[in-house]
Amino acid sequence: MAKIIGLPKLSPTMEEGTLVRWAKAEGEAVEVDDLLAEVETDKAIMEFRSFDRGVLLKILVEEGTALEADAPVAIIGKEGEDVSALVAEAQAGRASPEAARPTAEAEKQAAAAAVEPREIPSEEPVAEPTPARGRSAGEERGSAVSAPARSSGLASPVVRRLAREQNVDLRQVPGSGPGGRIIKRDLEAFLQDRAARPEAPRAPSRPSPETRVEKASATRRTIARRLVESKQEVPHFYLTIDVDAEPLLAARAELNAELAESGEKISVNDFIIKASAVALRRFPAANASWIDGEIHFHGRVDISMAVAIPDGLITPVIRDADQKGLAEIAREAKQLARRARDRELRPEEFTGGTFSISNLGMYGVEDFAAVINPPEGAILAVGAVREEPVVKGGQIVPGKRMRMTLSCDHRVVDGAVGAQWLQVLRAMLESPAKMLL
Amino acid sequence: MRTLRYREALREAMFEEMRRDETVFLMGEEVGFYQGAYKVSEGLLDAFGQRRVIDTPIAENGFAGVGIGAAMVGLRPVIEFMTWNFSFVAFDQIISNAAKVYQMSGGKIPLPIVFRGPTGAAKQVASQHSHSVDPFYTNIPGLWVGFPSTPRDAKGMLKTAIRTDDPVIFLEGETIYNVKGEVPDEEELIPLGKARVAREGKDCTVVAWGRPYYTALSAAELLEKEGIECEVIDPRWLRPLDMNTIIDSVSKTNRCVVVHEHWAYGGPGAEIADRVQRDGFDHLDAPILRVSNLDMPMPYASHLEELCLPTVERIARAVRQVCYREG
Amino acid sequence: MDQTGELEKFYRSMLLIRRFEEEAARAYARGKIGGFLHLYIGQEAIAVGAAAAIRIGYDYVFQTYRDHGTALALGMDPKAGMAELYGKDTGCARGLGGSMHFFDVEHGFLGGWAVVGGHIPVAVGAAFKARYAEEDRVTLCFFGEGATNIGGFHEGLSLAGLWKLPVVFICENNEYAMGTPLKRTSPVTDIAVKADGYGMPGEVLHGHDVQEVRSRVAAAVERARSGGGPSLLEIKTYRFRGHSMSDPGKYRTPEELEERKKRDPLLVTRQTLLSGGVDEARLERIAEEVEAVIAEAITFAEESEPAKEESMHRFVYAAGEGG
Repeated sequence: MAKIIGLPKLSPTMEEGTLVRWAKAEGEAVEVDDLLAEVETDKAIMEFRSFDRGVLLKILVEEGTALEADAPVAIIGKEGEDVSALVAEAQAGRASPEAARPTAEAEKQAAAAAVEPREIPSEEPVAEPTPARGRSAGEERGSAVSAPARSSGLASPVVRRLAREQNVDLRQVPGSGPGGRIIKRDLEAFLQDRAARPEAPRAPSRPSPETRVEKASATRRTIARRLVESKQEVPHFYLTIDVDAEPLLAARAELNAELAESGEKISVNDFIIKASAVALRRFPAANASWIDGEIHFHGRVDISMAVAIPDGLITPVIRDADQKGLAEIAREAKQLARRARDRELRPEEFTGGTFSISNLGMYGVEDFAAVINPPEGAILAVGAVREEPVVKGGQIVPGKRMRMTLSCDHRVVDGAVGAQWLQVLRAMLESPAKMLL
Repeated sequence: MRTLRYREALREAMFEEMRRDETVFLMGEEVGFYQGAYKVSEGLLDAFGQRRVIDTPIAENGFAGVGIGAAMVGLRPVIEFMTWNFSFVAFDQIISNAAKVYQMSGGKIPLPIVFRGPTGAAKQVASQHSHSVDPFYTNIPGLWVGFPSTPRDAKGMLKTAIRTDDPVIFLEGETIYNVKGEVPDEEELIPLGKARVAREGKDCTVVAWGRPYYTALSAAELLEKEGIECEVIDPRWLRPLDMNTIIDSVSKTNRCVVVHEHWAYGGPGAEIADRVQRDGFDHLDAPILRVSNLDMPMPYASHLEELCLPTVERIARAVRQVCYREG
Repeated sequence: MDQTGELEKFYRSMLLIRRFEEEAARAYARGKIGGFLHLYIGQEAIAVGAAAAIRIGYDYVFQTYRDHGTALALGMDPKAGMAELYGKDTGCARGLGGSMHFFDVEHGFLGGWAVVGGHIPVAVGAAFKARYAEEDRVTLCFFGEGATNIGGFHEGLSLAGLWKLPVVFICENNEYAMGTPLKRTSPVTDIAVKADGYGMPGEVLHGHDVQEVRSRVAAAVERARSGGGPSLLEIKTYRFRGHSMSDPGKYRTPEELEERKKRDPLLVTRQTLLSGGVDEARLERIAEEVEAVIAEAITFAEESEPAKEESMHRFVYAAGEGG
């Protein structure tokens, strides 16, 4: 019996994927676990292996098609089976992708139907005594309530619902209710204001000849969604320090001279990964996450390092970085970066970090602020080493400085906590031997 | 349309149903020769005779049970309690027997009986005579509970209650027996479990029944002058509750105040508030407030009694509060 | 005290009740009193005779909502009674109880109770306590003939009879349960026979003769006090007013009322006093004294502070819940 094969969900966060390449052709035999296709998910190109045995009777989507998870992609069955009905079914399903996903309204109605089994007799005046049985109130009623939006402020339920529907960041809306609760009136005023404000420069309504419109890749869209979520939900604040980089550079030169024979090399970034990890171990308040109203203080220090890849970025994780030596960190970082660019990372290798580091120093950027990678509580943005005159012992001498900015989730990391953590970090960077303590 | 008093509308309902169905009879204290302690049954003895309009001794537990037994085997009794305060001695009959027969018999024995009479605080009749029994009987599965607020509903609901094959607790407002209102000339049966929107408005849903229904309407008039439009809903039946009508209203107004002449601990007032927060959560712009009797036995002195009952000012204050119009 | 002196005292007490009730009716008509008001006019000899048969302040007394007369006969200050009717803080229940709920613990008056029959088992409980504590207190429990059809009566008498408790049940048979005559509410019209089923003596006596009431109640009280158990006394009487102020009493004929008024206990007692040698002037002086007491009670009630909001919050168990 032939069946429709849907696009598998290949990463925990995958909502859609692009079928990059078919590994089998129509008519080919397929064994369980055979490679059927490659799929680009939000983070990587993954292998799509068959769960079924048979013949690939029909390929339903071309290479390069972006699809929602579980969308029909192929039909597998016995040789010679008629698949026209299944093809029609698959296409009908795809013609209105919304049909498969219940709308908010439909869900509400379904919920209302589920909780209101109200059948009231005697709708019409009745001539005979009404048989009215077993319909008294009081049955346990299912909840028609969806999960409340996460927000640090107070807002009434209807405001939360409208904000979801109208895409409003409630942190921008002043609340006039008790305790600063945002009430419907406040939101309505905000929406009126927003409507009256001149829009930010719009994209030209008609693409000019120079403009190229390209469908965003799955990776790009995931990045976009995650960043919007982070900036909307996480209250960011920023702390910048300027570090004397000379001791760090000196130590690095010394170590690299030692390693010269092995061909390995330790980068400034490796130093910063190590120093940050040790600082997080020594000052664990910054190694925390806000998850659904709870603060999770992590027992491990897993550093996510941002790696640029052709159409976006990815954050492979160096596990237990506080317990690893610099050489080991350097090796691992190098390997992870290469595999990230080659799209070889498995989901578990780029998820589950506790703290991120992003370094744009190699591009000459002196100073920047990074967007937090939720649910992590902070990210350190590292700038380039600058040569500039510094005052030392009353003399102006040539110096080497480096700026770094810590972005903190204010729900878990307060200003003082972030600042104290930076002090610990600075102490280690300016006196690298302290990392060994 | 004719204009009738609430008590006259109830009398017409009984009169018509007794004429329509020979098995319907009225039993209670002073319902016959005395013409009803509140004159609800005035004239019925003359019309139907002592076989069908039956005066009883002061023995509520007894005659409530007699009604249940008669209903089990084919009659359709209307049992009047002089006031619902006196139903407490018949509590066992109503709860253990009336509400259970159908279930205990595996659905074989329907129980077409109506228990009716006035409830709520009258005027200065003090603690033992001022109970609102709404919470007690709405708690019992197996009983319908109706509480009409207008003459039209009083007639149409009582007719429905008498024709229903289940036990119905029919609560009448002791202080609104004299209220006048329009009643259609033709026969009307108000369906079980259907609420009525008594006044439309966009700012706040106010749910009220019985005497507080009128207090709520007065409060709505007062608030209209302040620019607040109340939507007043009369649930009519307290069990089952017509939550669809209430939720529809709250989804429009985003606010809800429940006004009731019973104590606040539990009861239909608390039930409505609970279901609104559950089924209408995403529509709410403010906590649901209730205006209820103060939590104490009713004092005798009239100025204290007034403090204990929902007043126009207390209702208006609650509505202003949920509309964030105060402070 | 000689016979005449005692009767004169009874007369004064009955007159006080009569005048208190008449003035209460007047105040009710003026809107000074609200709610239900059940007058004792016509039944005064029962309260006064029974009060004379017990140890006031030691024995316990329970009454229905028609309770003013009994409370006054036991010695409640008419000022506290009238102030209660006016809903004043100085009332016997601080204005919280009103007409139906007079209480006067000092004189052993444990309440006017407003749900028919509900207080009968409660009175049996007070008698139970006396036995339990090995005290020789007696409990008087008053009720109307209408109450003898309700469960509370039967269960209360059954328990008292079973345990031989020191309680005297006094049925004030005024012939009408609200508007319904006895013959249409009870299968037997002699209430006293109902005692038979509960193992206690039942007696019938007439309520217009205060001295007979006093002596017959005293005998029953003595029996109870000395361990002889409960009794049921049916005292035949008549109320001259409606069941309450809102009852026009159309169920009785004017002729019946006129006939019964010939046995008005005040009238009967007055005649007995006059024929016993007490002169008109003396009775006039008693009337003047009573007038002064009643006038004082009304002035007191008028001038007292209204019932306090604080009281209604304070005298409740476990209040302030919900909402």
